[in-house]
Amino acid sequence: MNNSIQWRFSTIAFSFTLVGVVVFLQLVRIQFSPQVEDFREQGNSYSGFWRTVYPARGQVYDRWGHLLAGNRTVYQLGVDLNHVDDPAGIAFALNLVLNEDYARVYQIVSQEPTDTAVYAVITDFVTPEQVNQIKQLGDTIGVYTSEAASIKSLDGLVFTPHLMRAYPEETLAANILGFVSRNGEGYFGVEEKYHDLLAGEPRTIWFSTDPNKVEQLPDIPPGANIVLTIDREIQNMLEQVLDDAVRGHGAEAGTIVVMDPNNGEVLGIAVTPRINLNDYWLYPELISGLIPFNRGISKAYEPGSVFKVLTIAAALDNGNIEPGTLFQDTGAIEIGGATIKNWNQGAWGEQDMVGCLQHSLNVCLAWVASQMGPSDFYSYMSAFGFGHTTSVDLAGEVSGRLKTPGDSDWYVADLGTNSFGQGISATPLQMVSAVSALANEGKMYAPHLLRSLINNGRQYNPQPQLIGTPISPETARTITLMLASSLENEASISLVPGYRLAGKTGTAEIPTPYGYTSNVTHTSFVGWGPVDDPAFVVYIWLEKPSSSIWGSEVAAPVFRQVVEQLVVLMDIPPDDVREALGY
Amino acid sequence: MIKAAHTTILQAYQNAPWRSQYQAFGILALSVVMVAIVAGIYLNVTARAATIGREVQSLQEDILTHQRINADLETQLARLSSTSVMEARASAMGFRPLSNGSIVYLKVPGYAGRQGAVFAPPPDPAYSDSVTLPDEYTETLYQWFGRLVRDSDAGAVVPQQTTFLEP
Repeated sequence: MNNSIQWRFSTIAFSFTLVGVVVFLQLVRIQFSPQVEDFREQGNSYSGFWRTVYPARGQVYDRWGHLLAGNRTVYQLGVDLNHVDDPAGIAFALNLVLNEDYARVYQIVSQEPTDTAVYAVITDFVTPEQVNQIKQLGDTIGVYTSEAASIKSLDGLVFTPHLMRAYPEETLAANILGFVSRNGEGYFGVEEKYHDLLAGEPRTIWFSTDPNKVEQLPDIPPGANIVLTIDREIQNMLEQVLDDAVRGHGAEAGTIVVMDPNNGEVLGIAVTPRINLNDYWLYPELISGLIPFNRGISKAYEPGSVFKVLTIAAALDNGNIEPGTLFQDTGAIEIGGATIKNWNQGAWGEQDMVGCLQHSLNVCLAWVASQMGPSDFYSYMSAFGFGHTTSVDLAGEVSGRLKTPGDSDWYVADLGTNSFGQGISATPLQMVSAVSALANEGKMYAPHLLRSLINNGRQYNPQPQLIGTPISPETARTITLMLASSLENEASISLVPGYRLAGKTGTAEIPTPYGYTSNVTHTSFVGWGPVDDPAFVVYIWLEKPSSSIWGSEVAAPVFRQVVEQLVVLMDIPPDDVREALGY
Repeated sequence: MIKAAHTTILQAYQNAPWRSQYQAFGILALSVVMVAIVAGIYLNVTARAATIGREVQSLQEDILTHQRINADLETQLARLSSTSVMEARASAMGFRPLSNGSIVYLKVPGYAGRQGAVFAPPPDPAYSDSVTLPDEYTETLYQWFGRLVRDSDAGAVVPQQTTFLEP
C-alpha cells in the first residue's frame, strides 16, 4: 500500500471518528442542557396520549324488561386539518345536510394546521342517517353542484362514533324517566335521581402509541342498569286515558298515579304535558314557566274531599267514631270562629259516617275532626306522611304543607277546614301513599320506582320499606268497607262491574290571593280494589275542567276507565271468579 | 534434531502473517455474527411484540365498537317493539284490546304468574367467583411430601380439583 492510499484511508477514518465524537459530544451536551425537559416532553407526547373513556350509560327497563332508556350511536364531526382539500365544499355539504352555518364551518375547516392543532371539531351528535347523506355527497364529487358552490372533495372530514341517550318509547313515561343532556348530565326523574349509578365512572387512560408498551385497557364497567317498578302497558294505558280525559273535559292538566299498596311499587304515573325525550331540548317550549316536569310529585295542591277518607280513618282508629255513629247535620258548624258549610250549602239531617262520606259532608267531617282534637288529628296526618316528602326515588319531589298547632299561620279554624282537605296541600303521590295504608291493613310502604339494580353482573332487588302503620288493620278494613258501601249506595259512576271497589270523589276549590274560587275547581278521585284483597290504589286529578266542576262527574268516570283496563293488565279476575277459583 | 525441527515449524506456523490476520478477521467476524444473531433475535422478538401489541390495540377497539353497536342495536330493537309500534302492528293485523268480559280465567296449578325481568343472577352469598389454585401450584416440595404421606395413610390419593371458595 503506498503512502497516498494510506493517507486517504487515514483521512476518511479520522473524519468518521470526528463525526462520531461530535455526535457523542452533542448527545452529552443535550443531556445536560436546559432544554432537556422540553425534549423529554416532546418525546413523551409522541409516545402516547391520554383519553377519557366514558362507560356506556346504564339502561332503564320497565318491570317486564322492556327498554325505556338506552343508548344509540351518533357521530362527532371533525376535520383533520392536514388533509383538507376543499374547505368550501365541506362547508357547503354540512350546510346542505346539517344546516350548519356555512361561514362558521368554512372558518373552522380553513384553519392552518399547527404542531399542536391538527384536528378541529365542527359539530357533534350527528345521526347515522345524516352521516350517510354526507358520505353520499362525497361519493358524487363533482356531480353535486349549485350556483353557490360545488363539492370537489370531502377529504379531511372525520366521523367519530359515540353513544348518546335514546328513549325508544319517546313520550311514554317521559316525566318519570327525565332526560340526559348532551354533556351527560341527568335531569329530572330517574335519570337525575340515579345519575351516579347510571353514568358509571369515567376513567382517563394513557394509550401508548408504542406497540411494545401496549397494555390491556383497565376494566371500565358500564353504568348500572336499573329495572323500574312501572309497567309499560299500564303506563301507556294511563297516558291514553288521561289524554282523553283532559281533552274531553277541557281540563288544564291532569295526573293519574297507580301504586301497589302491598309493597309501595309505583306501577305508573301519567301526567300532562309530556315531551318526547329524544327532543328534550324543546322542553322549555312545551313545559314553560312554573309548570313542573312531573305533577305527580312536584305539584302540591289542596286535594279537597278525597282527604275525608283519611280524617274518618284517623277518627275510627282513634276511637272517636264508629261507622254507625250518628251526626245531625244542620248545614253549618262553627270551629275557631269560622263557619263551615256543605258543598251545596244544605242541611242533610241525621247521617251516619257512611252517609257523611257518601254525601261528602264538610260539616260532618269538621265535627269529626273537632271530636279528635288538633293534637290527635295532626298526629295522624303526620303519620300518614303529610308535611314531608315520601322520599320517592324521583328527582324534584316537593313536600306540600301541613300546618300544625304552633305554626304562626295555624288557627283553630284550620282544624275544621283541614278535615275535608282544604288549607292543607299534598302531591298526588303523597295522597296515594297515605291512602295505601287504608288499602293494606294499615301498613304504609315507601313509594318507590326501583325494582332491581344490575351491577357487576349481579341483580340486586331492594326490599320494600315499611315506613309506618298509621292505623290498625281493623280500621283499614272498616274504612274500606265503608267507602265500598258509599260508592254502591250512590250507584257511583266509578263502579266497575264484577269488582267491589272502595273510593271517594273530591272537588276542591282553588285558593287564590282573594279567597277560594267556586267556579273553577280541582277534581279528584281516589280508589282501590278489589276490596277483599287490594292490588292497586288509583289517584285521579284533573285540574280546572271546563265540562263540570264536580269530581263525581269528571274524575269518577276516569277512575272507572282506568280500573276496567287495569284489572285486565294486572290479571285480576272478577270477584266471583276469584272466589270460585279459590284465590 | 527432531526437537529443533519442531521448534522451527512451530515458530514458522505461529509467526505466519496470514495466521495473525485470520485470527483477527475471525474474531471480528465472530463478533459481527454474534451481534447479528442477537440483533436478529431482538428484532424478531420486538417485531412479534409490536405485532401482537397492535393486535391488542385493534381488538380493544373492536370490543368498544361492538359494545357500542350492541347498545345501538338493542335500542333499535326496542324502538321496533315499542308500545306505539306494537299497537299499530297489532291493530293492522286485526287484533283489538281485551275487555274484561271477554276473558276466561283458568287456575293452573303450579303457575306462579308472570315473573319480572331477570337480567343477572342475584348476589348469592353461598358462592364466590374466585377460585383457588390446585395445591400443586402452591405447595412446597415438603408440603407435597407431607400430603402424600397423609393421603397414603388415609388409604388413597385423591386428585385435587378446582374448588369454589365458600365464605
